[in-house]
Amino acid sequence: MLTIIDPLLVLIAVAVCVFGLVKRSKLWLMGQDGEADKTEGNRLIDLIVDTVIHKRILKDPVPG
Amino acid sequence: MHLAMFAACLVPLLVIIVMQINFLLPDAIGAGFSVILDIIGLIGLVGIIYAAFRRYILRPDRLDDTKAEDALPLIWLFAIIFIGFCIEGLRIAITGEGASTAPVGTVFSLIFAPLGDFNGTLHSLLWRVHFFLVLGLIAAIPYTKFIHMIISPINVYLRKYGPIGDFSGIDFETAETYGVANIEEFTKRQLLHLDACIRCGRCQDNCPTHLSEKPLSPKKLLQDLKKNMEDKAAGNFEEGKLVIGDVIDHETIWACTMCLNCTEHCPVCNTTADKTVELRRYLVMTDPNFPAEAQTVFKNMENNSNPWGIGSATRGDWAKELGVPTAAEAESFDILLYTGCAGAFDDRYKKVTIAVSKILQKAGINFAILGAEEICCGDSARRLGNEYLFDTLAQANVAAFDGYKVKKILTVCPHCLNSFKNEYYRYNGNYEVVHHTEFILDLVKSGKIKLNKSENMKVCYHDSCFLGRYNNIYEQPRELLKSVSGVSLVEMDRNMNKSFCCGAGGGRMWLEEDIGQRINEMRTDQALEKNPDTIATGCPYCLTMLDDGIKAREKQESVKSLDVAEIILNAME
Repeated sequence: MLTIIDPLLVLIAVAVCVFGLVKRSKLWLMGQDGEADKTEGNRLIDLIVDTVIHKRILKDPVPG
Repeated sequence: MHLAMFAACLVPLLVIIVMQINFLLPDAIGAGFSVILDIIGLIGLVGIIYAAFRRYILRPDRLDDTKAEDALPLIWLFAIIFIGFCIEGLRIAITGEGASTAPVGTVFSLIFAPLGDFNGTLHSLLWRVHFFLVLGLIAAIPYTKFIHMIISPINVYLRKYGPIGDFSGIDFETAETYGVANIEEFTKRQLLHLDACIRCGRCQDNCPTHLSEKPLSPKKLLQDLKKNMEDKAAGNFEEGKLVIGDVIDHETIWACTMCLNCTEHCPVCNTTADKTVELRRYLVMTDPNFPAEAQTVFKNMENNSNPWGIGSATRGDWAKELGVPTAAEAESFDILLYTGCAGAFDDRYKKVTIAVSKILQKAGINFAILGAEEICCGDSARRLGNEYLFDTLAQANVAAFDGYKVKKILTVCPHCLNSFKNEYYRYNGNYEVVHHTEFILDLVKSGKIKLNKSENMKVCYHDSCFLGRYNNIYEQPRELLKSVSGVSLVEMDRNMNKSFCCGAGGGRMWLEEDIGQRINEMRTDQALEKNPDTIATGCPYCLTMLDDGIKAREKQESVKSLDVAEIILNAME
């Protein structure tokens, strides 16, 4: 079902996405460096718990 | 709802990846994937329909700024999944295979069956449409609401750890200006917060300031700052204009009670109070323009080390009749009882300090106070934006504590507790700090005090924000109240981490409340709904605000406001 130009189209879509994200990131990067956190947590586990498992989102049974 | 849409996006992606190695997988697993994919796709469709229903039909208050373009991601996702089912249905109709592992696809195949030979053409056409929609979605991520799929996880990963309510410090020796006047003066993480806000509105649903009809909505604050960030980057924000006044008005900046309900409920770990305090810092320390009441409070703190401006020499007078020694008088002591400004000067809260002291004395605890040497912890100064004053007070306090080799501090005020426990580390002030409800509970559990007297009370406990959300002390006061025979505890609808602020946090204790409803009266109403005879708390500010609320509702004959320590002392006598 795929044609020869389809991989090229995928690359174009990804490139447009990456371009937009890089441009977007420049907005945040114009900020100052902040001070380090007092303590450090397990960022990766917390990321999985709060995004994939939706812990924070499911605090409210009818999310926005 | 979000979980359904999330799964409908993620699971097909994972399945497609796994299917690339399907030649390694047994047939049964492939069939299992197909069934799961079908069911999750259907759940996703239902989730999308419900999301659209909420946004455009139900229109809850929290989604008050829903825009037309918010419909685009919903329509886009719906189209991708729906066309995916059509393709599956057509495949089944053409080949007659796979019906047993595709329940939803089978239903679609029944619809397409009558089309006969046209099915092949339609299948090719829809496959291309599906393909281009997916590619379009990938390309559109940074330019639409889909961006939250990327930014939210980054924001969650880069969340602030450590004390939830602590702000960044200021190095007064090197800083040239204080606070934030221009958007780029926020930190990178703070600017990322602005982009990560997806306008779900949970913050404003729980914000006492917004609910009492004041101009602040945490969501709107973040969105206004986000717009300014975009305008500034695009060169669309006039040179010389500032965030303060031109983007965020003064009333919004001073309205926040810093109760952290917004932080607690933000699904992407955003914070709002840290941005508000940066704006306040600018208005207090760099280009002074702040409420006159705050000026009075600052002067009183500078001159007499307390917000009321009462002579600091009388700070320890409440303890004279009790025979509580000062640190200077005591030969040695195990615990420093830090009374705080309210505990030392406010006539109502002095009764609480006395109650705590009597409990400690009955338990045989070797404690002392600083007396006239005690000064304000600086919490209100910090939250009103006067970091310099906080810095001065904190350094003086740490010097006093270290001078007496203090190891453990018992506070009768959650604001003092929070400052010492979570904010004095910057000044090398590292102490064991406990709130009186925690400490007294330990005394009860260890049998050092006996609660012999039965109290027939229906108590509604109000969680102080600085005790609960700031320091995660929810259960201890409740356990303490339950340990009193005859006390029945009732909960307000907004309790524990959803507790509603009394209106006095963030330095609001000292400012006039001219706009909207009074927050303390709203909170009192929430308590009175449960028909208690006592509203209990563990914070001087909350006690004052609830006292005023009870008086405003003319319920002082039937409802008392008491500190938990007072209830315990009564049960001991």
